[in-house]
Amino acid sequence: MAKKSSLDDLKYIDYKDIELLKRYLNEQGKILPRRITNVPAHFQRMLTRAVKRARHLSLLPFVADSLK
Amino acid sequence: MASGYNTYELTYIVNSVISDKQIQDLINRVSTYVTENGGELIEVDQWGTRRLNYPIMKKRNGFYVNVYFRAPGSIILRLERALEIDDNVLRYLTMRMDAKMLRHYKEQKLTRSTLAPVDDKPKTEGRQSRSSRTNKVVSPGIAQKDAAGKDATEKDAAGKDSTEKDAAEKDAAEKAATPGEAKTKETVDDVKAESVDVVEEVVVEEAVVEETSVIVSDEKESEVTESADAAETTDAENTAGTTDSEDEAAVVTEVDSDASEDETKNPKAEGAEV
Repeated sequence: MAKKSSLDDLKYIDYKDIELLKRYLNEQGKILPRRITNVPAHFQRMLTRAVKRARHLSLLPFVADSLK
Repeated sequence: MASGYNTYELTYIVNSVISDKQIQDLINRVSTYVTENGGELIEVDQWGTRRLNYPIMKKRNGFYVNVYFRAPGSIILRLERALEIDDNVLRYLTMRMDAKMLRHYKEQKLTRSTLAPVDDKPKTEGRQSRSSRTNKVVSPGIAQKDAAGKDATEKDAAGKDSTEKDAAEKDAAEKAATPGEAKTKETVDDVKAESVDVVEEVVVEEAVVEETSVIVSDEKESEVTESADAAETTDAENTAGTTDSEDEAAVVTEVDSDASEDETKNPKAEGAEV
């Protein structure tokens, strides 16, 4: 698939890598759905896990007015 | 298997209002707890005081600490209980590192070992905050393991101070690992830095990835590696580069246009490549 070549993070998404995570959140800090971002399924699962961990550690907000 | 040894990553937030000494005491207490109970600390990375995205226990700032250690599984329960009870620990997150996480961690460490401590270029927030913090304790055992695996590159990389662009460079270059790409990168360096030692750089480049560029042109290294990294990110697909002088010009023009976008492009590229 063409997507795989551009996403080298398919191995592991670190919850500490906030810049990477922010790309897949909207301005309110919500996780963007796959139909919008067109990422592979397991990437989306890793992403979600990482975002929720980051939110737990307050590296990302749960709700935001303007995240970007 | 509670008796087996696993590698864990523990991130916790300490109340930043208390004195520095108290914070360090707490961190040392956690570290000694691990070592006393049969564990081995791999790294203690203190990120320092950061602003929280939402208040925790009515506090808006927290002192983040990131610990990696190898320990028997049986100590984790008591460790977490101790963190839970302590009023000065606001949050904690313990994770057992599986193979993917370990590999990611090793790659990250390799990347960070080539980072310069002082950096004025905007970087991915996560990585910069980790690398520029003090009090990093890396156990020699793990360092040797890494050195054994990537002996040539890491040994030289640790000896010099290069910029963070080497990180993405190294990853992309290792993946491509073709003389053509390396030479293309080096020709760009040459033109930008106006160095005389082009041929030497090109020849040595094949054996070891990017140390030569830094060793040869030390003073211009930030510019060199920045432009080189721009070439890397754009040339990631162009692995079949040649060293003709005609191509030099083509590569130079391509990099020139990309150098201006470098600042905005690279953080994203960095994130993608790592």
